[in-house]
Amino acid sequence: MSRFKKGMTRLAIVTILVSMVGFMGHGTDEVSSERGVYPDSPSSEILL
Amino acid sequence: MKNANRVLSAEKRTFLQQWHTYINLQDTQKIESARKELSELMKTEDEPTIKYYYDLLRFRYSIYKKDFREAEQIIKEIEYPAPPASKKHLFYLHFFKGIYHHSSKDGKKALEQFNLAKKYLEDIDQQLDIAEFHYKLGSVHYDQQQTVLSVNYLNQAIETYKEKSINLEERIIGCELLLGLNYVDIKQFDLAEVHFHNALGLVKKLGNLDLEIMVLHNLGLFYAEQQLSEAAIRYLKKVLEHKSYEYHLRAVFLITKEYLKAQEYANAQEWFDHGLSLSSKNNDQSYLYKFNLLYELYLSDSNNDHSLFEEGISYFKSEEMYAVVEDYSVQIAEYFRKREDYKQSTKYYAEAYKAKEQINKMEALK
Repeated sequence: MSRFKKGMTRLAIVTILVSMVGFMGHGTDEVSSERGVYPDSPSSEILL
Repeated sequence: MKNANRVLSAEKRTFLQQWHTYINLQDTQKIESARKELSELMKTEDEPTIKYYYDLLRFRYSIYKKDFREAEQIIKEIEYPAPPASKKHLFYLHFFKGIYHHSSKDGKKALEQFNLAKKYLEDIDQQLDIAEFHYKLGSVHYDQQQTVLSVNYLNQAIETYKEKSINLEERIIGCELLLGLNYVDIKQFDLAEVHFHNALGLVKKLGNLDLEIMVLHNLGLFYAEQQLSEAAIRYLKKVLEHKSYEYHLRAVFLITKEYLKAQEYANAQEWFDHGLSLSSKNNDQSYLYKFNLLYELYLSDSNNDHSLFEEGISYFKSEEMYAVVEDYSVQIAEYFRKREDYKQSTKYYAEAYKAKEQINKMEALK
């Protein structure tokens, strides 16, 4: 397979995976796993 | 004499229940005075079920005080040999163990214990304990990003907390915050705003500074999730004016991320340095990886060594933090896609997909 074809195949796979994951990330813009805070939320912070 | 002892035991049981209520209400003064009185009273107690109830509450008290070493010590003492436990005792044993695991950031073990406790819930007649159980379940499910389950439990909890005979405003605020946060997770920002607004109204009425800072922190997250970096940074900086704030590191991390989004790299670098040093002082592995990943993804000039990507993702997988795995895998995949390295990009998108599957699987198991 030529380098171009290989590249295109991988690009197609990326596109399929992006749609399976369900969103198109834009660096730090789209997805976040950061949790908010509430009374009794876990914290191991001891030093500031 | 036997009858007199029995009366005394019944009184002690009531007193123990009261101590538990004070802990639920987080009434520091009453908790401490009851603790002192009970430690004297219990010296002469030899009825095993009362002694066991007392030990369970000592365990709960040490978690409340965040004295995890003592909590571990107590649980070792009371679990072996097997205690004279009634269904109620078993409920409290598993419930408190769940709270212990949640406080020490192990959501999976917390849920295992809460699910064991659930079997005995119908034997519990204290409304406040049931509401507290629902509140804790709601909070662990929120941390695990299991929105539907979390909202369901929180709605049950808030209904009880709002009952006239209870009206526990601090907990109502907790529920409002968690409901708002759940709606942020599913990008229902209008609903989230309603709950944060409710929380803020109650906080102002109570004049509780700790809770007010929490609301501000969550508003920072709320704006960050809507890509309104300027507003997010403004709220998060207000939070950091309170030096002893317990969740300082989380706020610093969010600010770093927002400066990166706004492409203000000099500011981002400054907050990154501060955050990295805090994570290191706290020996917080999770944030150490998160900060280093941010650096590698958005601040570093080097394009050569990407071993940190693999190392970070492996760490989050080993901790079963699948939402974090999904989040960072997507960011890494995008990093490679922009550099037209489709092989690596495919690999990390596949990683994100697997993590998402894992989250769905865990939610389906509940």
